Amino acid sequence: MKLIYAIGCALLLLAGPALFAQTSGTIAVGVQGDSSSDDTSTFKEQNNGEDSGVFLDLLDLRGTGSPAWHIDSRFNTGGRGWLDLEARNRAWSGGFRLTNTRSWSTTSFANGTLPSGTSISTLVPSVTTLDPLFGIDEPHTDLLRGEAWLRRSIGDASSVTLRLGVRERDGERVPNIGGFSFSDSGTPSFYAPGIETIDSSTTWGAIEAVSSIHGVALQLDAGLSTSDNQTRHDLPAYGESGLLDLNRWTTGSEDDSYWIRVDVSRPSERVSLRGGASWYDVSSTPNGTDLRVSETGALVRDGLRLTNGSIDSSTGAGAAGLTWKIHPAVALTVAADVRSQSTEGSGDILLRGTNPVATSTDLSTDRAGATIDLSSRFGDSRLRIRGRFTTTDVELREESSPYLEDLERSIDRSELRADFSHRLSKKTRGRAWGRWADESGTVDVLALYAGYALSDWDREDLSGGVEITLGNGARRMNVSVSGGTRDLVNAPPVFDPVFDPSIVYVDAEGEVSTFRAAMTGIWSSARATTWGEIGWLSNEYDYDDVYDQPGFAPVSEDVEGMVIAAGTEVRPREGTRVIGQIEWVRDDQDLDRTLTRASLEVAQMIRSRFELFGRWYLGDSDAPRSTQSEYSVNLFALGIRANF
Amino acid sequence: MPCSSSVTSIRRSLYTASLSLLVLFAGYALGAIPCQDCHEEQVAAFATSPHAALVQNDVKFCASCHGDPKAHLESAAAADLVGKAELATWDGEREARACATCHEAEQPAWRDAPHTSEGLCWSCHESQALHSKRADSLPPAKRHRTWDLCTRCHAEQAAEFRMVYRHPVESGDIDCTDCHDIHGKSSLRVDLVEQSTCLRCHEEQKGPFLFEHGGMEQGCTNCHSAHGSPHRGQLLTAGNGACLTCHLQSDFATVGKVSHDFLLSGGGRCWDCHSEVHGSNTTPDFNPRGRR
Repeated sequence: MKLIYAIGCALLLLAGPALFAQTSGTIAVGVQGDSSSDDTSTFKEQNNGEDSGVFLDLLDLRGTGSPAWHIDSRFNTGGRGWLDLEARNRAWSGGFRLTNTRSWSTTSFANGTLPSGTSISTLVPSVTTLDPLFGIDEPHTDLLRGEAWLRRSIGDASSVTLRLGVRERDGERVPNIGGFSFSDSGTPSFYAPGIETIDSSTTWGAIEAVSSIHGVALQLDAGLSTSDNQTRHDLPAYGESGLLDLNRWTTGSEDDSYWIRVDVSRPSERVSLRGGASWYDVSSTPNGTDLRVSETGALVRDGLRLTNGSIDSSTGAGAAGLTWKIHPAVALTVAADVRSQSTEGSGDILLRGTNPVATSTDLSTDRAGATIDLSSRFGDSRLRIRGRFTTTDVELREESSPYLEDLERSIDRSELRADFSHRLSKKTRGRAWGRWADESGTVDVLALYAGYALSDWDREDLSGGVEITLGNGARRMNVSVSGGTRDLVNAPPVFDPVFDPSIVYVDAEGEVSTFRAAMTGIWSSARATTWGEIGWLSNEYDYDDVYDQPGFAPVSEDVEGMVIAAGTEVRPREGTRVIGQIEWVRDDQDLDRTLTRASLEVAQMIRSRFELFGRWYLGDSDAPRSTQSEYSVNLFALGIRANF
Repeated sequence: MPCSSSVTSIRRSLYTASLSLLVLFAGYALGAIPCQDCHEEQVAAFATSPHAALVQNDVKFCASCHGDPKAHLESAAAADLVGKAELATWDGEREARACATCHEAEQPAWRDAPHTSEGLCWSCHESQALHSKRADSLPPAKRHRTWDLCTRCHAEQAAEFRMVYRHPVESGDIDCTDCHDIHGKSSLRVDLVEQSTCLRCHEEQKGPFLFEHGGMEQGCTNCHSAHGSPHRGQLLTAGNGACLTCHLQSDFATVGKVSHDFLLSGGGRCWDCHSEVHGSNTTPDFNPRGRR
């Protein structure tokens, strides 16, 4: 965060008075306090980490001279926010974009997430709060993304752009996995929250060139990247009398990659041609361990260690297509694409610190696809029909004694989509769409030892929706309704060794269905702006016919959700603004949770350029099935806004 | 003499007019006669626009929409320009072509972008760049990068971003354009890395791993909801539904060689044990605690 502020201040100082000579914009800063009850960590997880402290509400500066420039920045009290800077004149443009996304984690695990609503803690002994042994009160990760670019335009259709970027993720989070272990009595123990520590960084640079030569448009993109990603999990295992030890495992890699991509197109009134090719290559040095350690980190039992790891992966892809204007209102596009990926990896895995096991992976994936697209426009109507077929062949051989899996997989996928839109009147547009897709996979298992492999499958998707847009600009309403189903048929997988030869497996069937409805609208007048949003979702997983095991938690799920949001900005008199917003989120059926977020801001001009504002924010969670996730938080802020 | 005086006067007028036209033509040819000389009000509306400098100094900017001003400079007739009424009849392709007069080099594949064919250049950019001031029609709470623009039309997505677990797009920490190539950057589907959109930020899940999970081939959205979800981790389901889409089998309790009844009857989820579900460097079944 200090870095971000330092960069921001430096930019402002460097820009100097010259920049402000032709500047307009807004600067708003404030200070915030809070009053909270119950689980504030869950509040932070769900509300962007709002907290007490100083915040930059808005920095929006725009210079209209030459070069024209724009600074846009915002940081909340939790340290998340962004700083964007862009400047351009006739031939040169450049920019800088820095974003820090701070993700907070809850320090407690909801114990009521069973689909049946049964409290998990009544079924197995568990610890649902983050144990103090980690010494972390507020687990959070920072994802910092920065990108700078410089572009030189040459004429109207050519440019060269240099891009440099960094990405860093650091911190801790509570992973969404249970600390599975057996207690002293042999009873499985779940839902002991652990800590995932992430330390990863990537630096990349790329050059893009765009040009047009004799009517042929060329686009080139080439770049290099280097990254180091390390993740460590610590999950406590509890016995009846307390902590036994920690499961600790790490996964990571150091990667170097490069890529190059070329796109060529030749547009014309009658027949347009397009083509492209790309190549991506990554050399990776993977690592991984799995240990049991004591509370102090001392080794209790050695597990797995990967040594001498190495992975090389390369991907080549190409595509070509043409668009033929059969009629001034009808265009037909036919395209084909291929993609081939090859990954080879090897290493030695030490089991319990000794006994190195040679491990190797050889994976190749080849895909070929064809697309046909018919687009037509008659009067105020547009119709687009698109069909696509892909076939993918996968060859996989993995070996890590005694495990061996050698198989060939073939996946065929067909998709048909139709999209129709019509302008009903000057301010009313309607749209309807439908989509059908079918995917079938066949698996040929050549060898399998000490493993598990999927077998053939078939999926069919059918979905559609309608959408109506009324009005435009500041007075607009959009309503959409959509739904879809997916039918699944999975052939029995292949096991080695077979657990129980007496069991005869048959095809398993299931159905997933989703329905949605949504509306958004905005209405604006000279003194007030009001907007509203409504969304409804039903998500159902129906696996009821598959098995009937006594004592088994039901796997089928049915979740319904509704969100309602509305806001208004009213200017009751000159110099006074009142801004209010409320969001109400309700999750029902297999979930039971109500979330309310509301804010109210009153702003008063005190001089021609300055405005004082006071703001109240409420976050409230009502979750009867997991009371540990409940909270009620009030935030109060005071600030000043300067317009110039 | 009076007659001679009139002729002189007429000649003078003709000379003046010719000279004016000559200057206008020369000025136009050199791009030095700004439209604001006559259209002060329209040009002033660009004061806070990124085009402010252009509109004051470059006839080409105005001409990209309103057409070649040559005839208009001669006649001063509004009919000799492309006016508001005619502009309203333009389709998306025509709109985009006007913008591409200057922006083609930045957005070389704009012809293939879905928004271009729908005619949406001005739907998003009108309030920032054309004849109006900035987005005063939207409340400040929604003025976060492109969120306010995109949700005008994408109602479903707006609702998803209100869910309990969501990507922070409404707050502006993530921009719609971080994931969606709105203007069209690549003309064909030749992306090198599948799911590369998600992996720009979630690089820890990128791999390659010694043991890849075949499910990653299906894409991140096979298990996660990209915009928002009622479930932690933005998973599609509260329980194991996402895993079962592929791993559904009859007599479920005996997945693999281990009876899973014992483990799952307590409401356990697949990833409680198979926690390295995105890929592993140590275990082929993604269960790092199961092999040692």
